[in-house]
Amino acid sequence: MRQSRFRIERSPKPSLRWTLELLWSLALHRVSIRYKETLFGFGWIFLQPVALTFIFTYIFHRFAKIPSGNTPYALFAATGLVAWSLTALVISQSSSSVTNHNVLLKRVALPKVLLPLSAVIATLADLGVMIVLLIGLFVYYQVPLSLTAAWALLVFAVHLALLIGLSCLVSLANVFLRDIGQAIPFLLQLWFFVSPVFYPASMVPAEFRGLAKWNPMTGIIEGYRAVLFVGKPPAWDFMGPAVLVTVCVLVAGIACFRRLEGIVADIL
Amino acid sequence: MDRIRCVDVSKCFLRSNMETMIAHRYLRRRSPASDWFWALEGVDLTLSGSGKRLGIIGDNGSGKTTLLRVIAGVTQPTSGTVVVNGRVVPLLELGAGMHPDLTGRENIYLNGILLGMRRHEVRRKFDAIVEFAGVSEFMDMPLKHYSVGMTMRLGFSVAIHVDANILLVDEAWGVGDAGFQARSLEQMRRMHAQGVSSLLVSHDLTIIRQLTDEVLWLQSGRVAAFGPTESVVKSYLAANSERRRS
Repeated sequence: MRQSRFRIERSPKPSLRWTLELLWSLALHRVSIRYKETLFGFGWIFLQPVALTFIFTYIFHRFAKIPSGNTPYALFAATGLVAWSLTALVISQSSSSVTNHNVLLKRVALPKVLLPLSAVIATLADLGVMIVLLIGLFVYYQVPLSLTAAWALLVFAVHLALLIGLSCLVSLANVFLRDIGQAIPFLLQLWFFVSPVFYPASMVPAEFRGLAKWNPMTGIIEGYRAVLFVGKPPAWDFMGPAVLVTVCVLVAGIACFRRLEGIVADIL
Repeated sequence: MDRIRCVDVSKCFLRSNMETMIAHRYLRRRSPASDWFWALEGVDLTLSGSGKRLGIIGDNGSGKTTLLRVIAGVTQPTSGTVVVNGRVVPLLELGAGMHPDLTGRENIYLNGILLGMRRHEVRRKFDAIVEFAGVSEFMDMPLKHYSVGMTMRLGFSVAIHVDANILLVDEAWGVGDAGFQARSLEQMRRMHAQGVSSLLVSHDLTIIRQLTDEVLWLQSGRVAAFGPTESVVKSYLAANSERRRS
């Protein structure tokens, strides 16, 4: 019986600088492809959060009277929406990032993890546009930015790590089981409703609160809100579990990639 | 120095994705099943020294492309040892890494970096790449408006401008007009003279005779013969005519 033992030695090893340049090129071209030959180009990134902020403010604030503390509801909802949009965009973009490059992967040897990573980086362009929207709301409502806003960088680091881990897992899973690509829009919708995007986490019924804090988006969205306009550092009873889940997802994502990337090209 | 050394390389494919994944993890514990397809079985191959030219021949489905992919690092073998010293540039399917919505210019950068060049290297060689491909008027046009021949020429041109030590060539001459074919053959010869080694897969025995010193003949994933081009090609032809007669 043949043994499944193989040894591969390659020299020279690809340099870190080259890897980073490749990552950057892949991300750059993703952005330029996505909005090529569209009339509004980057305007599309604006449209969704702006429209949803209006609708949410109308339905959930005026109609369902969801409280937002001392913060104007539109700003409250927009913060949740921007954070959520980033997550949803990264996942939907990266889920097909490996499968879409099947032709390339069968011909050129490259670190395959760069494909979901480039999808994450390309989505940061969208984030940049959305942040402009958020700043607009801060100015409109004349909400002073508190000093704790610097914490937002830390929350963002956790958010980004979570997205990197998830995009690795999702893009790889989609190679083996194409069901994933079908299930993602649905799963994202479910996740949206269980995350405190248009409601504060304090409104979650007590019996579900223990469960809700293990949703990393709870800690992340509430973290952004706390540091941006409540003026407090992130609440650790939400942020702690979020960090823990993030670390697990990131480690799992990278480990799966290392283990399985060698056979990805065979089954694409 | 050995540019390429393969020792007892085998590669197996399975029917479904899940099985492939499971087999990949647990192959050493499960006994081989009848539906395992061995694309390569115990292949040994050495290419040493610079400027050496090795050809691979064999019928369709004999494992030629799989072997090239294993050496290119696109996929991993199921078992065996693969040692590669030097920068490998695959000419497996020209224009494979190109994107139809990107312009010629963007594609040159993306493809050049994909094949192992640094950005500043691409910038330095940009004019030479465009000139060799003969597409200078179309640099800012999306690739989807290029003809097939133009895309192939651009792909070939990017690939040969990478400072490769080892070229992996898989039937790259299929397209392109006679003039371009002649120029690419000449380019291959020039690169050999500069010390670039190559591994060439082809069904065209004329090209094999022109461009290789040694030939590996694969038959159903096993090495049928390995030796000087002329003798291996002769026995390959003899075996083929034998089969036709019987």
